[in-house]
Amino acid sequence: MLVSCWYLYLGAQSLYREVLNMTSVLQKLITPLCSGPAEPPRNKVTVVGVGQVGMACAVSIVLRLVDELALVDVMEDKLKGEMLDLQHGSLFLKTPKIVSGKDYSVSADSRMVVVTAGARQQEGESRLNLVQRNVDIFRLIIPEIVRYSPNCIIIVVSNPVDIMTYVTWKLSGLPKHRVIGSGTNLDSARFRYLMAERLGIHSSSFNGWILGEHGDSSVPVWSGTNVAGVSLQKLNPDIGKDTDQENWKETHKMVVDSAYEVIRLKGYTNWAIGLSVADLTESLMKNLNRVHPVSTMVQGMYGISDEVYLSLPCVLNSAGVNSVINTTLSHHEISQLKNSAHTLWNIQKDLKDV
Amino acid sequence: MASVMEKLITPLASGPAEPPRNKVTIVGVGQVGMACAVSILLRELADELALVDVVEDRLKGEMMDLQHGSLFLKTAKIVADKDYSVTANSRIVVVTAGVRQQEGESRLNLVQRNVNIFKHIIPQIVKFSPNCIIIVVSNPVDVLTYVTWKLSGLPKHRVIGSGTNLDSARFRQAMSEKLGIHSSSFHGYILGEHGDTSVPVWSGANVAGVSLQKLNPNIGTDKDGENWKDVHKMVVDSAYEVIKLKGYTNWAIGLSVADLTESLVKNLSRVHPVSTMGMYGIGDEVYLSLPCVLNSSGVASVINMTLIDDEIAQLKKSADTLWGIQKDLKDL
Repeated sequence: MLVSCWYLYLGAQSLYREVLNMTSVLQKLITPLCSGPAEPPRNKVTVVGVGQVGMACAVSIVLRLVDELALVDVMEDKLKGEMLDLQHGSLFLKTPKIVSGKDYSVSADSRMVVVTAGARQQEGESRLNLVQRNVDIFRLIIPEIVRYSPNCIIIVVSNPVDIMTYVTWKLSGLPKHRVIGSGTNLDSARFRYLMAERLGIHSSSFNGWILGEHGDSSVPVWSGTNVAGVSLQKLNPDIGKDTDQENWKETHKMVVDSAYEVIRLKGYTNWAIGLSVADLTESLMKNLNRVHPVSTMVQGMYGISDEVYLSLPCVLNSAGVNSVINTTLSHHEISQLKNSAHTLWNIQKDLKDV
Repeated sequence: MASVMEKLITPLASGPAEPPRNKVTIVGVGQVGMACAVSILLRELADELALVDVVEDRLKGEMMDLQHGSLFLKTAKIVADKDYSVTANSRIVVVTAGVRQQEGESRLNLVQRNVNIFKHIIPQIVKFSPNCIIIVVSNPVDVLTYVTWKLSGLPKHRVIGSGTNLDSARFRQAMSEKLGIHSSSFHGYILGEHGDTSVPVWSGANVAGVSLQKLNPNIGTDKDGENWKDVHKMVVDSAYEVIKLKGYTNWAIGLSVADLTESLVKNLSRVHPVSTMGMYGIGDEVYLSLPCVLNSSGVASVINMTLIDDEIAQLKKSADTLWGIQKDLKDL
């Protein structure tokens, strides 16, 4: 009886030891405490398109307030490679979850979606043709974005940005305050950099806005340019005109040309646009109510009757474009905006399937 | 007829502008170089950034693209030139320049080609920044760090190879993923030669001080039922995988270099696994990754890890391989 009890004891002990050895390192190391499924992300950003611009946006954004980043593209190998490369940097980031996929389900529950996808202009291609090609691409992208993140804010970066933002707004069915174009945010940043350089101060200490259409016909609002509240136009009433001895107008021209120059030199631009998009992201995610020059629906403003997107100073917060600052523009500046609106609408009205 | 500038601004300080205190130079504006540059800018580590390369158009384009982002950065001066004078007074110089391995090319041949490139680069760096710390990223990193040290004439504590800093980061990410925690909460070092023959130090792997090896004495061996050894293999393979998928790797290495830069620039005395002049009875002059205390002097000291015989043997073997290549290099 004693012997059988002893053998039972030994058997139990060896079984116990076996079970103990079978528990994994994870089970031995960690005792779970909270039950239930993992929390959904609160500050998720999706970047559509993992080209140079998309990845520059992604990297600039992950070093800020993002708890999940999703990357979407059609090129599956490159997409996976970019995701892995970012994941390998996890130790140095505070973005615990980085996912990617061809399927938009990975983008579910995003607060913000940055759209950088689209075709590039071919040699000799008309703008209308380029836009129509991009509309066809966006028709596949935008509904999917909205399907998985019905409450998101979309930032459109793809060019021609003002038209593509309009296209996105139409295809998404989202209210206009939740569809934003990166617009002249970058033009203004370049303007502030170049003007500040000329004055020997940091870009952030020079205040100046470029509004309207992103690109060649953007409008530098000289009346608003100031340093510490001192209006440059008061110091030099000719500023920005052809009669200006100091030729400040040249600085705006440099802003317009600089994009082309960088493209000529390195093939594309990406860092500056990436940083500028991250700056917009910060205002939106952190509910900051900061004012940025971004592309928004301007129908009804400045006598513009068409449904077009142009850049104006917008107050950005968690709702998206909370409001627009009513900038006092000169007659000349207003007519420039109206011309842009007219040009944009001429292209937009012929677009099919929007 | 006073200009806007004269009307707007009254100068106060006299004398020349202050020289930079935290200047960083990046040599090579390829994908890796630019990823390092952007990571350093986003972390606000430098008050001046200089870029150097031989491809002048691309170099100027990259400089302009970064300058256009000035509004969002706290690095006031970004310069670039083919001429190294633009790098003068740098605290840190990150070297990412070099050629890639051709199909079927021997390692010795690749290294010799890179030596010939470094012969032009390194003396110029030191000429304009004699007090700098050089971080070598170009591959094969351990050999090229040795080459850099020889060509620079700098004391060994000021020449660092990025080494297994990235391998360790990948290791910590892969291990922590399996444990459901953040990479920074899993501690583990990969040392030795960067690449295929790196050494995962399983005895040191721990979470909150709890040694994983104590929980599973077979960890990292072939007898291990849970096959943790596979994680190290994944780390070695992951570089090749990313290269296969997107053509190169850049973001992770860029972030890891920025992390090293932070310790150096801010005099933090943090411990990082980087390539330094070897120890453990290794007689030859080779660079291998060990846990190094990094601060403003460079490699202030090395942590004496307790390695098991097998791990020491692996390090010695790496050292022999590296010396086998180094001894045949010409013009060092």
